[in-house]
Amino acid sequence: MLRQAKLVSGIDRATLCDAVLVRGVAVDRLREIEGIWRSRRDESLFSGVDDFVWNWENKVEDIDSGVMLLSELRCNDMPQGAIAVSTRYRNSKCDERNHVLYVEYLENAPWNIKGNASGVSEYLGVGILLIAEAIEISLTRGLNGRIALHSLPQAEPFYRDKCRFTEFGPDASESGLVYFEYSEPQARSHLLRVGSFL
Amino acid sequence: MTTTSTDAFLRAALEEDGAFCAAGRPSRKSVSLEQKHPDVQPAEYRADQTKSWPAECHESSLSVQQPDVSGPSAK
Repeated sequence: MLRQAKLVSGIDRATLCDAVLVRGVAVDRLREIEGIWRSRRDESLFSGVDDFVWNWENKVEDIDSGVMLLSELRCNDMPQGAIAVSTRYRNSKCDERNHVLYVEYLENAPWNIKGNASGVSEYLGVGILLIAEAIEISLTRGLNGRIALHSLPQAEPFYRDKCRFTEFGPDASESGLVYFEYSEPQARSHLLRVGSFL
Repeated sequence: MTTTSTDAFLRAALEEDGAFCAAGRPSRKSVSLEQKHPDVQPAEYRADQTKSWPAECHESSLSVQQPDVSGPSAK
């Protein structure tokens, strides 16, 4: 499934660039994306990015078996971001009567991260569009936009301050990563911010 | 696409401003915590802030090998 999207150029911080969001990306493409990003991650000046390592084999298996659904945000023929959501829903912590769509993995391209080797983020808006994609999938699955995730430590300000998720603190069962959740109203509010750009 | 939605998206994208936004359930790498990232604590100490660091973690030359602490579905 393809959808047109827009990203903001990080060069002039004003130009809108055509992008495409591909939902249901195959495992082979995930390997390509990882290959493209791996070397550039090492160039990143962002402090602490390398504290964690993704379990790629685990992701490959889960995407192949349909346990995870992978989407890629592409612009200028390059992968600008990727998100994988679980097809196994979790109980909401905002409202225990409901389920949430769980984000198993989310990452923007190393060259879009502030503080990368070039000194300029190539594209802005990748993170908010990927979150919007998770909300859209939640809506199509009858979860009313509710989503949840565990943030890497360095990304907590993004989810707390910029996306305004509800924060539930460190989760000892998930490496102590902080758990965040969007309720229905929060998800609706996020989609309004993104508007027609996805 | 209206001017209002353009403005809203631009504001949101500029506010994002290249923020690091990785999420998921990665494994921790083997790192020398004292040397590299003293603010990053192992899960059990981060979850319970009343606990103190084990003395051996203050040895600057020591690399602390963290176990693979992926979630239950990790294979």
